[in-house]
Amino acid sequence: MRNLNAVKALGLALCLCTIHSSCKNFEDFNEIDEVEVGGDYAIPLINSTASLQDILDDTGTQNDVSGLIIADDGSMKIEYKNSPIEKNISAFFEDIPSFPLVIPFNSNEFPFQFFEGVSVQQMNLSSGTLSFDLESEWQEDVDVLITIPNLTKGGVAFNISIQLNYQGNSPTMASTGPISLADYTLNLNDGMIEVYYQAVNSNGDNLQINPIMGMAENWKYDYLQGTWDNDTFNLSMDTLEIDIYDNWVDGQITFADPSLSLMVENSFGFPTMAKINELKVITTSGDIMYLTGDVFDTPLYLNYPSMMEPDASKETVITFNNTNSNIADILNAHPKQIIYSIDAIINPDNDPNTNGFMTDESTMQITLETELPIHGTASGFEIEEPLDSDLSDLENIEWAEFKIIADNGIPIDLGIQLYFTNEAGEKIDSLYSGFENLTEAATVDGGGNVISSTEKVTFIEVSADRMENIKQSNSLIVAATFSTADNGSTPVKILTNHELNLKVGLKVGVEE
Amino acid sequence: MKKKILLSVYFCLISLLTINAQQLGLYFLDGVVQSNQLNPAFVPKQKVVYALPGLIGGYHNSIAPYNDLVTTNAEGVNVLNGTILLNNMSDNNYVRGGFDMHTFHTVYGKKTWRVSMSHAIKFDSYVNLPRDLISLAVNGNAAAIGETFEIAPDLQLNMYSETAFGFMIKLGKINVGAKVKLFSGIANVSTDRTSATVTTDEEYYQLDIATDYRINAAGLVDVQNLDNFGNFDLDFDTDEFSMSDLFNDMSIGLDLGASVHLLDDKLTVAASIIDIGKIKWKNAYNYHSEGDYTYEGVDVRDMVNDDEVSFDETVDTLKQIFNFTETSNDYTTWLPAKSYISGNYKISKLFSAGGVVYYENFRGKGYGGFALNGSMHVSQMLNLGLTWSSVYKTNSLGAHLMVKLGPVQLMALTDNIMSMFKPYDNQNFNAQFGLNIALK
Repeated sequence: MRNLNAVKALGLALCLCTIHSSCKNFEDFNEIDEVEVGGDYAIPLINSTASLQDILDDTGTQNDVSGLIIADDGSMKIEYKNSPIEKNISAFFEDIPSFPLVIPFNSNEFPFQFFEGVSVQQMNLSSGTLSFDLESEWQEDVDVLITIPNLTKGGVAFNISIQLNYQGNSPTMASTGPISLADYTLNLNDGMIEVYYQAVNSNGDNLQINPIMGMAENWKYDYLQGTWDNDTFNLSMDTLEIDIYDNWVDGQITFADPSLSLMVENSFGFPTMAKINELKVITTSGDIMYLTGDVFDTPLYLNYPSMMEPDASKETVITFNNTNSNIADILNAHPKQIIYSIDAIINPDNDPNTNGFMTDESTMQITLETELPIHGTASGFEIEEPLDSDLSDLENIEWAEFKIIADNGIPIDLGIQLYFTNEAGEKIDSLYSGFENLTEAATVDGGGNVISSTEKVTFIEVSADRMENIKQSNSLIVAATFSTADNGSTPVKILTNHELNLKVGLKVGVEE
Repeated sequence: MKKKILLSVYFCLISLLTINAQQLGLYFLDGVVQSNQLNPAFVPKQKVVYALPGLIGGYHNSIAPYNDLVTTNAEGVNVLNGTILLNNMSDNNYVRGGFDMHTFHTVYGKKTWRVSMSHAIKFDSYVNLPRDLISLAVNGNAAAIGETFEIAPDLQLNMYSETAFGFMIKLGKINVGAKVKLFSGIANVSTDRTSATVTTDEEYYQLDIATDYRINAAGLVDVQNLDNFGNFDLDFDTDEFSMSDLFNDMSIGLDLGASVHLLDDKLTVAASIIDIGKIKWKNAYNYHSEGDYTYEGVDVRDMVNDDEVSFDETVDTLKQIFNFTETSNDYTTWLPAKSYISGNYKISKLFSAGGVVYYENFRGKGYGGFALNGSMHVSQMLNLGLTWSSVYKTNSLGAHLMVKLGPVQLMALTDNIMSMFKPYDNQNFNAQFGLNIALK
């Protein structure tokens, strides 16, 4: 019995101990905080087929004032154009000043010479006034009628009646106040204005009164016709900025047929010739090159509307290309700015019998345009572009290897380099040494037309040491170099439907 | 007498800790009411028995002990070593665990028959991780270009109510028992299609993904963000639990068992098959990913428009690659049916020895094991034994103890002694403590 009780007690104790210890052990359970892994992973990064048209659509650079122009056949050209410079009549002639008309006798003629270099034959007034002050010594009432036969409205000559009412004091005075001349036409014979007056008393007797003082003020016209003397005016002086070489670092790009065009839109109705005082290019290296060529041996007459086309405008385009000037050499010399100065010579042939006209809306618009067709060669042409980057994802990356498959339908060899920079913008490392040619130019025929695409597979390894430098950078500079087929020896045509298919895979080693 | 009452009260206050799973040692405790869970023919010798309510939990993984995989570094951070994890994995690797909350278990009978009634709320979890999934995460795929990884985990998280009515009848030397179970599902998340492969293409490492993967969910569970593995969330809405959930949409299961006494009752041979049944899940949600998809990278034109370079888009796309579609179809899950065959021989009045073979069929896979036992019996008051078992390819030494103090029967059992003291150095642990009132 005693033994049995002991066994029971021992069994009880064992149970209690076991319960207590197992519960205690589970209290010590700790959650997992981290998982230690370190493997090598392969993922696809990029799969993209893009034509130049796709890129242009995405970046919205097509057909801007200055930008890329695409023709119906897919050919492209880079165009730089300044905003038109407009000259109106105020650039050539000043406003008609106020002038006096003194009428000493019954009949008088006055010269009208307010446009230097212009013999006015007809002027349609849109606004302006005439006013007269009269005096009479006669001790009776006098009626005065002033007439200007040259100044007509609806075929009726300008006339005004004024009464000098004698009040017992002498002289008798009267004033007309400003008389509107709107819609009057001034026709001048030999440039003279004829004015006469008739003064009569109550008996109808012709009298002579003191000289009539007239004043013409604020005359404005909407049409003027006459003959112009030979004269020269500065038409335009401007600078056209070229940014294609802004990111240029090295290499050469040659456009096969660049051109520079001067376009003048003219609504002045008299003969004019353009005179290019100066057209020079400032290059990216600071050199100055001047435009020369056969084009300057030929007078640059501007088109103008005829007398029968008072509301018309005529365009003149003067083009400088590689057949008539050295413009190709200039535009292939890495231009940064094109600076030009142009004068207009009125009546360049100095013909005294040449009639012309101008209106209050006549203008001359001058536009300078440079076209760089995407047809030419490039040899090691290198550009750089900074790019912000978020490289925090690379924190645990030990090494990397890119596999790049490029199926290139564009006739350009493309090389890429990535420079990694620090906060000061200094290059601390690059993705690899030198430039890696990622694409080979598509095959072209003798005319520079693409006949087949070219595929190239490239492996780019980034070692552990280089990866450490990359992780310390916070921005990238993407540098690209490109050459046309045969290392830039064959001119090629680049069309918007040329495509590049790019596939990029990545292998990375992850730190444990 | 006072001491016995105090001790009884004391034991009522402690948690009744029983760990589920196979508990092969329990098969040698014929005569204790808890063994009726494994064989309905096993009934206590006493005619009226009541098992006090309690909570049960357990764990097993086929990979490696926790402490072999997780270490604490100098900064006090607990780190799971992916390489060691992978080295310990086979093609299929599972983690199982669960707990049972027994509300009551009572037996009543006469000399030749017994009837029983019991109720429990059971939760079991099962996750089968393919080695390829871990290999892909730990080692990556760069050295396996062109190879296919099978990455789909198989899982079942199951919570249900079980109400059982059993009977046993003695037919001479043969005991035959059966138990009818009524199951009511409370919450379930399980997969019934488990195919998902990833192949890295040789061209430029495109990822070819083929899936036929379906997750079903029903009851008090909320599945979110299946399309974004980074934010995937699974919540059991236990706050929504009510008593009616215990008896909804019931389905039937069955336990069968028998034992025969031979050689003048020295040899007892027994066999049983339990948890034959399934649970119907209604008002369910299904999330199905099916199809072939190839991830080929991003469009470079997006980089042309944006002056910034970032890899976030690639990572985000990969997280959302499975593209689950949602439906509302009811479904059924089967319980893990288990079968036992045992033999136990009374060497003498004091000692006995026996063995049991175990087989479980669960989610299309078979799991087997066996155990050998030696026990010492001191009258009907004390039963002390050791059990060596091999289950799920894991060997362990267990022990059991049964002490009867008047009408109070106290039992303690584990299939792995070491796991009681060092659970994190072992791949499995289970223990059972029972407190019964057994009246003649």
